[in-house]
Amino acid sequence: MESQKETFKDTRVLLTGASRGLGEELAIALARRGAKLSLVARSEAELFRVHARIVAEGGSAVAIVADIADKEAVHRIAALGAAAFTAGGARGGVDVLIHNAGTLGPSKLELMLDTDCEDLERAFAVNALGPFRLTKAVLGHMTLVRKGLVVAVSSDAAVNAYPTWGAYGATKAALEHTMRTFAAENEASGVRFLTVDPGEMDTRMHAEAMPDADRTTLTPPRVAAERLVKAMETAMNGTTAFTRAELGGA
Amino acid sequence: MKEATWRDGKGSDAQMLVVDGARTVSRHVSDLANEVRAGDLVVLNDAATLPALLTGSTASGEQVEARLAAHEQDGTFRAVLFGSGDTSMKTEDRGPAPRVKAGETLTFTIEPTAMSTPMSSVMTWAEVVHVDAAQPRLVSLRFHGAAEPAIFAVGKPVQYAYVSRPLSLFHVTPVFAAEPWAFEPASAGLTLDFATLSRVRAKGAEIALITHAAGLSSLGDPSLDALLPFAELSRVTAETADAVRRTKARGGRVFAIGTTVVRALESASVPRPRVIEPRFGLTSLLVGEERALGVVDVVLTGVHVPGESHHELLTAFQSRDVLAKACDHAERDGYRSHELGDTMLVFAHHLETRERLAHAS
Repeated sequence: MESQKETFKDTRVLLTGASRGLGEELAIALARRGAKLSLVARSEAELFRVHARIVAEGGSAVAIVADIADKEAVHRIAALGAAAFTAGGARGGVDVLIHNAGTLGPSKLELMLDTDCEDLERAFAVNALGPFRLTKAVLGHMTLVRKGLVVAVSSDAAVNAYPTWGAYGATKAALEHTMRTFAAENEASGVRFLTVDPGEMDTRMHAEAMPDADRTTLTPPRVAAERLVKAMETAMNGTTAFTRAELGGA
Repeated sequence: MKEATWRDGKGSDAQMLVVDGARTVSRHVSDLANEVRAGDLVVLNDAATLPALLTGSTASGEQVEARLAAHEQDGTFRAVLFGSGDTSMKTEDRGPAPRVKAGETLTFTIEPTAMSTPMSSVMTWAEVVHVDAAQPRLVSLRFHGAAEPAIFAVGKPVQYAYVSRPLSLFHVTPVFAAEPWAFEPASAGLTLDFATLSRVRAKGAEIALITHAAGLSSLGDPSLDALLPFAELSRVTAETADAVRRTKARGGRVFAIGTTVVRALESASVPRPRVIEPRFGLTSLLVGEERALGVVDVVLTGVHVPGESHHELLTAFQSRDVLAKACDHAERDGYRSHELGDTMLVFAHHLETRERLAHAS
């Protein structure tokens, strides 16, 4: 285990999209700071690889194979996240929920006029509806115990309109506004909400979107994960219910 | 009374018969805040519901259904076995349960079509660690590996013959739930929403949580049902015990949302002057006529007719006569019974004495 200040010691984190890219690096970064992780992803093999990586370093993690877009899976994810790492008479539950799973929608970037409705629906299911459902399943309890942090990984495309990024941008805008509204409705609850634009990262998703991009201009996910962890620490210790953070470029 | 076969609309639209001594009036759960005063405490059971119904086969290949019914002291689960047939049939009409032996392994699976995400491990194994000598359908199961992931991988929520559609976890999980402890939903909590809870808070009442593993309500066999309720896992945290003490100290009333909250709080209640202590463990406490309430003043619960075990619990709050009249009233107003039905808000008779004294002084 790399020595790190244990700023997340015994914090129970439920993280979606944990099997690669930013999610994988975030899982590692949080585990090194003492967090106990419930890792969610669709791909069993990739998820178990990340799980094994954390356990090999002496970290604490459990793997939950599930598709965040699946309505039937949401309560399984929330309940297993809440049940993990409980012992004796201590209260369980999720302390930090991170919506990191995301999809571009279409398999490559397309003009809105060329985007299939089904691809847009799938993007909404993964990027907006799934996080809405999972937030509903986790946030209620957080507001009653009067603490918690909900993080949504968003994008610059949620704010600015870039040609061919429409499906992704529209769904991330929906995600951000959902989080903003949850925050406004629960301002006095003690729960914090953080939406982040991690910048352009050197991930598989980015390579699929822009195969010809100059990778030296992209932020390595490991760097973005470290910045995100800092933003989470700031949000948790801050006084405002809602924060939007831009984590910057390479 | 008619059974609720489904809940159309919101849980908070369920009817709520307020039974407060001489006053019996029909309201809705969304009106709960009107019954609450500043300084009161509303206590919720935050247990999420396990998909406690598992189907599979015995070591010899016989079809078996296991319904998880309770936690055991040693981390195993008490379960009741069923044979052929399915949940659309009344439990008493099911085929005989297979006879199993201690040491035998049961294999539970789920049809691929019912699986939400493709997984390589779609099987769960459980060892039969104990078979009840008198009741061979009653067993203790130890899951291979962590129990909850194994149960969630293959289980479904317990289904009732009178419910018209398949239940999903989101139908049986309260909006404020966290850890999956309950074998059946603690159903009073299913009627609450956050709009109602915020109105309760705006009245100046506090909200606190307990966790209590609601057990199976019926096992489909009179000789097994006679053993109910099984001991239930229950937790009252120090924080909640403090909230109860604060409430009592300022003369507030404690509202229990569901009979599980009554059992949890009363199990943690100790003789004065401490009133209540934090508690974690199994409880077999039966609340009723014979056992005076130590902590709880008001309960929100389903409509339970005389003869039901939950009705017996209500005799700790009001006389059989008042309760029988309340049930008649509910019947006349078209109330529905069972998990997805309507509710009663029953105030304990000791409050009347207390309020009379307060007025006199």
